[in-house]
Amino acid sequence: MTVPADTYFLFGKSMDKSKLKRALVVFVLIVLFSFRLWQTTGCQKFKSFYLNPQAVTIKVEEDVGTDRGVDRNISRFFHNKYQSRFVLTVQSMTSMLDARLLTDVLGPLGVLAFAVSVYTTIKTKKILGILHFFIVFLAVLFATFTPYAKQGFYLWAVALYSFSLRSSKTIVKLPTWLILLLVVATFWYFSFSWQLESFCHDIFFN
Amino acid sequence: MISRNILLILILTIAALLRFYQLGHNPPELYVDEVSNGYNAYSILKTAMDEYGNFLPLTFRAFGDYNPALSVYLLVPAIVVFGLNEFAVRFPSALLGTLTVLLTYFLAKKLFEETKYKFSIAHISALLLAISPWHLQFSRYDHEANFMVFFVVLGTTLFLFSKNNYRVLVLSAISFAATLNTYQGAKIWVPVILMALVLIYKKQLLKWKLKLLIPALIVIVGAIPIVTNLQQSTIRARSAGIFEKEEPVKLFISGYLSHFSPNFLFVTPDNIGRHSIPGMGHLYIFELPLILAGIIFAIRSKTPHKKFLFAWLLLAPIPAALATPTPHALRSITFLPIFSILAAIGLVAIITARTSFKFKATLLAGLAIVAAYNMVTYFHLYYKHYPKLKAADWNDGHKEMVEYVDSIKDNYEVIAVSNYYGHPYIFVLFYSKYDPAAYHSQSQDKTKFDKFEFFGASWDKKVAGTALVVRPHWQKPDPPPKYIKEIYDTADTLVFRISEEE
Repeated sequence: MTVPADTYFLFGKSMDKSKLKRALVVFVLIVLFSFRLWQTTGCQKFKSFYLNPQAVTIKVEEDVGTDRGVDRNISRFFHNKYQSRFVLTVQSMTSMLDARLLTDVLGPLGVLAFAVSVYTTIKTKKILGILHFFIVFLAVLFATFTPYAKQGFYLWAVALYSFSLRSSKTIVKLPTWLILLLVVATFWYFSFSWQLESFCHDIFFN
Repeated sequence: MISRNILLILILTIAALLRFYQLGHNPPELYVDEVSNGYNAYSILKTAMDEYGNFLPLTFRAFGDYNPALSVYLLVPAIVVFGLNEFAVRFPSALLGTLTVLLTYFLAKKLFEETKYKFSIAHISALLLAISPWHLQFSRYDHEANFMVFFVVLGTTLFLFSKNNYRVLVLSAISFAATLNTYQGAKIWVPVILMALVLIYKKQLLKWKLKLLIPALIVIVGAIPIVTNLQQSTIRARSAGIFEKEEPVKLFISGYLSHFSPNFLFVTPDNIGRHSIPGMGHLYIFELPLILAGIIFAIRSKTPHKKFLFAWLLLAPIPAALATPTPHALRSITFLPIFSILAAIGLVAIITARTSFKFKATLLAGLAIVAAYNMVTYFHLYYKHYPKLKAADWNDGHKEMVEYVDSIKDNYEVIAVSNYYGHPYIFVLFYSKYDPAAYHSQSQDKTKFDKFEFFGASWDKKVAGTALVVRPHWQKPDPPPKYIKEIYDTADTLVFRISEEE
C-alpha cells in the first residue's frame, strides 16, 4: 500500500501533516501548562478570591455611615446587603478574569488559545464547548465562594488549561514561526514572572 | 430624520446637564493643578505672560512639569466671561466633554456606516459616553487629558470623513497637531494612533500622493513646541516613565495588561481619589456584558473600519503602560470613547438578535433595571459620598483659608503659610486674585511674595510685628500660639489652624 507524501507516523499510528502539527501543539501546550503548574508548587499561600460574608456587612455599614443627613430609606435603597453582595461578588469574579492574572496563569500562547477557544465556542455554538466554558465559570464560582484558596486556584487553572486546549484546531493554522515565537515568549514570560505575584502571596523558592 | 436629530439633542442635553450641574462645587474644591492652570490663564489674560513672566509660552512651567500650553490658553475665554473662579476653570473641560459626546455620535456612525444600524449604534454610543462615569469624572475636572480626548476624537472622526475630501484631511491634521499641545500623554498617543490610521487606511491616503505632505507638515509644526523644549517637555516623562526604573519590559507588560482588568474597569478603580468614585469602577457593571457582546459582534460585523476599532482598543493602554503606577485611569483615558461604542454595538446586537421576543424582552428588561439602578447609585455616590470621602484629594479647605487670610491680611506684618499640602503660593495667588503683573518680579522665589511666606516643618519669625500663621492641623508649636480660626473641609475634617503670633 502506498502512503501519501504528507503522512507521518506517531506511536505507530499514521496521521497527515496537519493532524501531526495539531498533536504537537496540544503537546506543547500541555508541557507549558504543566511547567506553570510545577512552578506553583513553590507557592505556600495562594491569593484568595473568596467573598467573605463579613465583608458585605462591613461595606453596608461603611456606606450607610457616609450618608450622614440622608434619609435612612434612601440610604438603604443604595446601600443594602443585596447590592453590596452583588458588587463584591462581581469584584471577586472579575478579579479572576484579570488580564494580568490570566496571562500569569496561561502565558501569552495560553491567553491566545483561551481567547480563540472562547471565540470558537461562541461562533460554533457547539454544546460540548458551551459545557466546557460553563465548567470554567463554575470554577470561578467555586473560588469565589470557598475559603480554600489553593483548591480554588487549581480547579480554576485546570479548567482554564483544558478549555484552552480546545483551540488547537485553530492555533495550528497559524504560521509555524509564530507558534514557535509564542512558545518561546511563554517560557520567557513564565520564567520572569517566577514569583507568581498575581496569585501567590508567599513563595518559598525565590 | 427629525426624530433622530431630536434624540441627539436630547442626549447632548443630558451630557451637558451632567457635566455642568454643580460644576464649581463638586468635586469639592479646585485641585492644585487646576488652580495653577487657572492662575496662569488669568496671568495670560492680564499680561500676555505666564506666572513667571514668560511671554505667551509654548509650554507652561507650572510646578516644573512644563505642561503643553493649549489647555491653559483655552481657559482664557472662560475667565473673560465668568471671572477667575472654580466654574470658569472647569468650564472648558465640561464644554469639550459635552462636544466629545457629539463627536462620538459621528465617529460611531462613520465606523458602522455600512451597516443598517449605524444610527442606533451612533445614538447609543453617544448616550453611553454622556453618562459614562469615566468621562464624567474628567469632564468635571480641568485636566489636560480631557482636552486630548476631544481633539483625538475630532481628529479621528475628520480623518474617517476625509476619504474623498482633502480639506477635511487637512482639518484632521490640524486637530492632531493641536492634540500634541494638550497633554503630556498625547506625545505618545498621537504618534501611536496616527500610525494605526496610516497603516490601516494607507490605500485611502496614498491616493493624495504629494498632497499628503501638507497634512504631515501640519502635524510636524504641531510638534515644534515639544521639539524646541525637548529637555523640559520630557521632564514629566522621565519622572513617571518606566525606562529609568528596574525591569521596564516587565513593567510595560504588566501595566498594559492591567488596563484590561475587568476589576479595574468595572468594580475597583485606581487608587487616586481624583480619578473615580469610591465604590464604582470606571465603567458601569451593566456595560460589561454589552462590551463583551460588542466585541464578538464587531468581530463578525462587515464594517471596513473594524480593524481600526480593535487597533484603538488594543493600542489605548500604551501611553499608560509606559509610566507608573498602573492601572491609571487618567493616562488610559485614551480608551474613550471605544468602550461606549463597543457597548452600543453589543446592545444593538442583542436588540436585533434573531431569537424569541419573550427571551429578548426579559433580557432587555433585566438589563434596563440593572442599568437604571447602576446609574442612580452612581449619582448618589458622586453627589453624596464623593465630596466627603475625597475632600483631601481636592485640596479642600484652601479656598476658605485664603479667603479668610485675605480678609484680614492688612492687620499683619507677615503671613506665614505652611507648604505641607504643596504649593500654597498658587492658592493664595488664585483665590486673592493677586495682580499677575505685580507677581512676575517675585515669581522666582516660591518661598515668599508680598507679605506672604511659605514654610516647611517649622516657621521662624524674622520680622518685627504681628504675624498670621497658617499651619496644618497636626502641627502644634510649643508653647501653643493664639489660635483665631480653624478651617474644616467638606468631610468636617480639620485642615488648617490659623494663629496670631507676636
